[in-house]
Amino acid sequence: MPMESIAVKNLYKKYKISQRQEGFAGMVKYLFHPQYKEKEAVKGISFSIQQGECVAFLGANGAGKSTTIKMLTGIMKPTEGKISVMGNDPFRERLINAGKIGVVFGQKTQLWWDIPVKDSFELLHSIYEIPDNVYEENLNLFKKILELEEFIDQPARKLSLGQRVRADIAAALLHDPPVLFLDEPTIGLDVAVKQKVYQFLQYINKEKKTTILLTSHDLKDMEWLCRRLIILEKGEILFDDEITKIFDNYPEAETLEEIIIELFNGNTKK
Amino acid sequence: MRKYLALIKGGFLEGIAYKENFLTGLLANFVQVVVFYYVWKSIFLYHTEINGYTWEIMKKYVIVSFLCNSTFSFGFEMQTANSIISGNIITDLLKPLSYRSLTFFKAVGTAGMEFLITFLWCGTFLVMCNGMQNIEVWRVLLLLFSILLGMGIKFNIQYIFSMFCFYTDNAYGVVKGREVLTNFCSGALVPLALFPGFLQKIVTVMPFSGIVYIPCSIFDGIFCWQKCWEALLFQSVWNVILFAFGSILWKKASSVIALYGG
Repeated sequence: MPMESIAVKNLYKKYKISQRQEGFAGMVKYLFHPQYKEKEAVKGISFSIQQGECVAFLGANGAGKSTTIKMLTGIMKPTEGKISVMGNDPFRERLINAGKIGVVFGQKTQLWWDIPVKDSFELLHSIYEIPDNVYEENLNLFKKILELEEFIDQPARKLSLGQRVRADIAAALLHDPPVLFLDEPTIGLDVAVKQKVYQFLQYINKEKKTTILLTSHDLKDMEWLCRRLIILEKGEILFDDEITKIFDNYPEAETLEEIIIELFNGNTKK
Repeated sequence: MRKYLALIKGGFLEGIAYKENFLTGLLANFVQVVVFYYVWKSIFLYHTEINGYTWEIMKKYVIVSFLCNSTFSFGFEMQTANSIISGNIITDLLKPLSYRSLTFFKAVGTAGMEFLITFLWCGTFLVMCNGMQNIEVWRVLLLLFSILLGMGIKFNIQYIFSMFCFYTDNAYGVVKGREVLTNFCSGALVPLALFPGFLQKIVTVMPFSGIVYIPCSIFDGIFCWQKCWEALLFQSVWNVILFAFGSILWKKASSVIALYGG
């Protein structure tokens, strides 16, 4: 029986957003009596992911994808609800959780900006306390598949976006995490690099049985990588099923946006 | 243990990557110490003694205060603040290490290099304008120990102030505020013994005095043997208090992290 690797129950996240009125009077008023408005980014979602699954998280901008990922990785405290990642509460047991997950944020880098990529990897080697043989094996494998060799001696700031993302993905996987989160890993990449990244992820998912959860706006790209799809819109789950079914349900839809609009309309009618 | 050594090494490498920064900083600091040196020198032309300080003592004070103040002074609050605003702090939070250890050991790596170089040239400067007279070995050893404790205090204070950056968008104000407070209350500008009575009483019990005033007074001979040990104890106690306070603040601050967008 497959093991459950991620379980989310009734997850809520509310942000406080400061409300400032216009003009000088508004500014003074804000200074003495700041007002906040609450915004619900995630409204009570639940789902569960088995070990070895590869799940795509889709949604428009501001749908709550990144917020959910940030709570799953333990960076952000959920307002309400329960999360378990490999049996740990990510926020309360952040340090334990951190050792069991790999994370890639397409727009950020965990590589040290000013030192060669190779040295960054060495640092991760020590920080995650990766056994030497595992480290060597993984590094050689990633070097080969992701073609890191050509830029591994350069500092991260000198890399192109495609190179940086490849290096970042390798960095996130050096310690053989059972769960991998990717938040828009292919944002801004060209088709060739995108393809390479997806092929690599598929390989990892298959060979190492790594659970993968990735977010994107792009439905077409993920069709062949992930079998399961979760669509978020305005903090709620609209769809959670096999990816093929979405096309059965909406054969005429061309893009994700169309499907989301249709799904959301259907949702409010009920 | 290995991970901490790796972080120290990383901080060191980063320090080297920014060596131009450090060297220009060093030059600016050099000018500052020379200015202070001559300002005090001209003051002592008209007084042989001020509140127990003679020119001989003051000379040492100026140079050593500079040594204490300039290492570990990079102020990582600004880094923390920037990484909160840009959202890059999440990559630090994803490591299986507490945020404090991460910043601390990185800082030790960078500061280690700074300290070594500053120590060498401060020592040279001191020997050049003072000679070896009135320098006792035990005071030098206690000085090093005291500087170490002082750096601990400095780190803890900076850590606490960087927690404030979680709440405010204006990190620059927080950092400047901390800097002014530290410079004034630590004795980096004027020895605390020269402060007026009531102010002196306040600043000597505050933790800032452990950063500059205590190490300097140990070295320049203002403190007697027993006072030296009391001062070291004072520094240690403040380290513990500030450490505990930092832990509590982190608990609070880390749960308000709201990273919009992305």
